[in-house]
Amino acid sequence: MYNRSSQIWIGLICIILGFMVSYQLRYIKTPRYQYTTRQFENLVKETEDLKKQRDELLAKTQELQVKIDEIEKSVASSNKVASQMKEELDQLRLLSGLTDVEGPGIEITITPVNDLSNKQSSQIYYKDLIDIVNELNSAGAEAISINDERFVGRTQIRQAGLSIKINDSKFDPTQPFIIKAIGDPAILEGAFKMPDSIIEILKKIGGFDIKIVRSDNIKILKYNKSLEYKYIQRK
Amino acid sequence: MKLNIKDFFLLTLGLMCGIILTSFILTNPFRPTLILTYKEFQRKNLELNQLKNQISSLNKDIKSMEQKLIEYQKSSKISQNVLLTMKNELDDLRLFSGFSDVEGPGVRVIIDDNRNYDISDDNVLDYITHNTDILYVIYDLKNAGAEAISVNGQRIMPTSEVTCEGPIIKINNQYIVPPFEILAIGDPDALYFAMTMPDSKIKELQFRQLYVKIIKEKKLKIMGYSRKLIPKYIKISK
Repeated sequence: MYNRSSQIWIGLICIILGFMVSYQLRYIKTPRYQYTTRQFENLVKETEDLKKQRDELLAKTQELQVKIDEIEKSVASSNKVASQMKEELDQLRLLSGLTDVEGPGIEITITPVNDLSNKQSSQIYYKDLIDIVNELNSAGAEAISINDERFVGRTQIRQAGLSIKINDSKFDPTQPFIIKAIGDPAILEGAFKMPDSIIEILKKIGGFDIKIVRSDNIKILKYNKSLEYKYIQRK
Repeated sequence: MKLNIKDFFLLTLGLMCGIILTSFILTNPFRPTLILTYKEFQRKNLELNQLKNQISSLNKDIKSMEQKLIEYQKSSKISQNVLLTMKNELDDLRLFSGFSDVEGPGVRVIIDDNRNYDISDDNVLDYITHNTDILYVIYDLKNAGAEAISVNGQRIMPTSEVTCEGPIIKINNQYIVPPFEILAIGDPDALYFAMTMPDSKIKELQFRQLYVKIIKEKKLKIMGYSRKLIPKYIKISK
């Protein structure tokens, strides 16, 4: 009699266990952010549309650039002053961030982790970005962009309310930031291996998923905001 | 083998367990939308924003290029027009790139170490200007709309770094020593206001008892970057 009741208990425990296991499985397989499912589909669609639009525009700018180049070249070939000017123009455009450039370098992706596993909310501060740019520059970076905003002489990196403004574009500090730099990949990456470098500090604070990837072909877009000055006077 | 009631009971229990387990798994099959993670969502969102940015910039480019083409083709004296347009563009670029000397209104900020301290003081490091202090003052100025900045004659370029080399600070790979004189061209009132905001770096330096002076200037001259920059790694993408 005693034997049977103990086996009933085992049976009961088996049922409860089975219940728990299957419930657990079900829980893991459900998305944590169910509400984003539809938004995500829209996002994908919108991205595709925009990509198409961008490619069309890109083709058009290239076409126009070819036309302009042709005219400038034809003038430059017949005029020495013009050819010098053209050379200087091209050089300055390259140095000051007004051309799309490519070359070897690194890509840093910092993703603030704000899911259920991380109780504290984590976000990037504008000063972290300033530090990263400074360290990249001290490692000899020749071109830098943050989320495709080219870093130029007058680039502002600042807190604007709840967002971070770079070159007057707003970014959500809880979203990933992608920083690209062109230069010697080994030196650029090495700059962040020091124990007190900003990346190491962020890793210590926690709440960030940080990836540094070396690449032989980093593409950095040009500066696309205004070149106008209000206070500087020409000499 | 004889089947007694005890074994039969256990068997049914085991079967039930199995049925419940599999039914839970089978009624919740994978749906393609379930693969989504939050990270992917973030990534797509960023990509979208960048695309929007690129498109608006391309639209701007197209407008300016079309304008240029119209200018070029306007009159019979094509070469004259081209030269003039190129000259204007070159002027703009020289200003933007930081290679030329510039003038304008702005502020002059002078920062010096506090030399009247007791060597036994625990906060000695607070009385010294660090590279990050200079760096954040530069950004406070930039973020307030400064159009050109120099520190002890070193023009701040896109590639400028402010590093700590032991006791000395380096900018543009040149050593600079205190007192630090930071010149910035921009709206003098806005720059002055930004310097005296309660959360500005300058306020912190004053709190640390460093010597700080901010002067509004009607006319400042900032030297251009004097050395040549020869890019080794960047190439224009095709």
